[in-house]
Amino acid sequence: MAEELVIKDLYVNVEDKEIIKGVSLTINKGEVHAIMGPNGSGKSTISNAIMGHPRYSITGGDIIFQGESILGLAADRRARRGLFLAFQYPTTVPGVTVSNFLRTALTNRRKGDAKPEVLPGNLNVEGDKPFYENKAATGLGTDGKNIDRSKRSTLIPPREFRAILREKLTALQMDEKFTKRYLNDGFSGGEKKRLEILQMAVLNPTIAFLDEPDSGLDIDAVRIVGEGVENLKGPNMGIVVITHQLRILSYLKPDFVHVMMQGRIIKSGGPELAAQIEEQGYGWLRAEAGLPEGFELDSDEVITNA
Amino acid sequence: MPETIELTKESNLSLAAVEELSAAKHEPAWMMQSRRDAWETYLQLPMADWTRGIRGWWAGTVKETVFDGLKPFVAASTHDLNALPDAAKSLLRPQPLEEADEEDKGEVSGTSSDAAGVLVQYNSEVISTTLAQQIRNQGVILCSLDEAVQQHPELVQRYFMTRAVKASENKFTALHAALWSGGVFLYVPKGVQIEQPIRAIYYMDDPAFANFTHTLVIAEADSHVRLVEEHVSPNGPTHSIDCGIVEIFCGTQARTEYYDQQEWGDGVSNFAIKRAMVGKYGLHKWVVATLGSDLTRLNLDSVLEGEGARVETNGFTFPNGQQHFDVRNITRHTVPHTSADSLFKAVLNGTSQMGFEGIIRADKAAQDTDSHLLANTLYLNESCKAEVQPGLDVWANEVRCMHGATIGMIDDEQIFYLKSRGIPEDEARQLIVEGFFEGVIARVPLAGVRHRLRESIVRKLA
Repeated sequence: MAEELVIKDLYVNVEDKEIIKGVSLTINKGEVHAIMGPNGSGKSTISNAIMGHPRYSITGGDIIFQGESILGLAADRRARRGLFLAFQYPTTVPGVTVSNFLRTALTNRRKGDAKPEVLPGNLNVEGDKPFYENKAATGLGTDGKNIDRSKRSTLIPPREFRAILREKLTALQMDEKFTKRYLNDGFSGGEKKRLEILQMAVLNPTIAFLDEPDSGLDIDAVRIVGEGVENLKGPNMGIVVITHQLRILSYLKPDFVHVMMQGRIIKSGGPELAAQIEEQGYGWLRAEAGLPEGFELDSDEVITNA
Repeated sequence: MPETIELTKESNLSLAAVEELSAAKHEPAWMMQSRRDAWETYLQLPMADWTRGIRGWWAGTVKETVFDGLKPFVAASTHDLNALPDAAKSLLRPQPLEEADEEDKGEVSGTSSDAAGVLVQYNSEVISTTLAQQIRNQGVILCSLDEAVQQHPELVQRYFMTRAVKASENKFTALHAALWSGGVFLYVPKGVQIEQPIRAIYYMDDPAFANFTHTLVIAEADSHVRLVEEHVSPNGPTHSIDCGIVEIFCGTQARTEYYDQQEWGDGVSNFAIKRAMVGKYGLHKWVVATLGSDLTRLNLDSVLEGEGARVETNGFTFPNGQQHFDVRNITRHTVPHTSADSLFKAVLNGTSQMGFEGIIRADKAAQDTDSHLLANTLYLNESCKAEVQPGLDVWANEVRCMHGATIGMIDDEQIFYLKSRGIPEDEARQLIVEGFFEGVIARVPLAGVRHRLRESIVRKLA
């Protein structure tokens, strides 16, 4: 099986502060990885950097996705190729219904990231997508005339979309009313996390990062999210769960467990590693890796929340 | 009415021109006199100080000579709807009343339902009026104001520029009263309720034209009517003015709704006053979108003059490029127990500028007034500029009046969140802006209007 995502000796800065100091990780389809580690060890930074958040600058190393470096691609192109990140703190977008948002997202995901002919005249550098997509897709005349309705960018037909949505909602035991609400607007912590999983279900990525999908949830909510992801898992999807709780891993069995500390992966192992951490904490790992005692950097967690 | 009227005087704006216009329309003496009086008023009034705009931004843009060289009357180039330019013709397609499904955004395939009536004004002339027979049978009148002067003088004399907007209000209204032409006249008798909207389309294409569009709506007691207006003209090297007035009389327990999408071309300066007088337990709704023109001064006012009257005002303002809009809203409560809810949403793109001033005024007699005003402004970049001033002017002592304003930049985190789901940046911005306007769009019950508003967002972001 071809390697889907290869992280090669990655260095990431957040506002001139080096957070990730040489992380390498390979994720194949069908695998479940867990990244564990104390607060501030750089777990969230990894996922944001891989997704292409503009505030995270990659200063060294490479990210190879489906055989190609994606460092030069904006977040939307990475997502259209099949990367997904379930955020720890999803952003609220008032006035945009979940359903409208998901329909737009799925339409784009299906279009994929067709490789444009790389000719200077063909690229809209700012929008980071081929020129022909810009004009033709919106049906806008250049002369300021009214939009020809027949030429509007076509979203997935509503009926087809609704069928997909209904299927995923049922699988995640979510109410359809959910989709009429505005994106994360007034959502409880649990609802936000479930919505992230719903998005993952609809968009069907090949590699999904889940950034603390269990944080702030009660026991039942952790089970719903954990089982939801477990059901999505399949031979065509690789999953990376970032967590420091063991509970979610009892629903979502990891094949590999990695421990991050101070911007590095200091130990990798099988599921037994997670159990060991649960029993003994991180202290012994810190000692084993020869890292100094003390507080971890916590800036990345805070910035993600901003 | 002759087919065309040419104003041939050397100076376009003169008493002679006013008289010639009135004579050419074969107007009764009272209207000619009213025009003459208005002309006198025009000469006497000073240029309004607001022509400098909020903080004087307009200084140098609007001068006293603003009307110089413009023709006050331009005949329609055609009276055939099929021969209209595409921009105007495309508006004539039937618009759906309700979408089959709210999710069918962008596909106007719902239960298509024609408007109850359509009026088209091309330059200074109304070239077409249609009204469903069954509506006409109930006594509803839809015609040009020109025609109403001839056919329904008692109504025109009673309502036209007498109470809502007076000729003496300022220099522009005086000139308007002297030179108005065409116009929409809509009369709904007592108890008549029309669900389907009535549409009025204003189109102009003369490069040096002072247009004086006038809309007069009279809704008698217990009636219900919806008017959807659109103002459209091509972009281009023109210097034209639309000095338009809308007067709406919402009678006792009547329900009136007024929708406007102003999309004048980029060579048009627009000075508009829209004012509703709301009677006892009347309910009026404004949804006014300011999108076109290079410069707009809009007064969007309501006077709650009957007990229990209510008004809902929705402003949708989206300047881009180098557009410059000034929006002023006064909600005036004059009697006890009236309420108002005003929501103004503005998005600024390009290097555009916007001034907004909103005032809740409660007269001394207006006890138990319940009035809210909220203005939200969103910048899409750092080169646009807005000045937003909500205010209270309260003289009664038992009121609940609240106002608020927010101004902010488009949120990078929101853009990233949407992009992380595969949505390209421009579509992400579109979604966010649509979401921002959603508060206003959600208050529009007509699918066709909602659709046109959403289309305008796409166009403004391009």
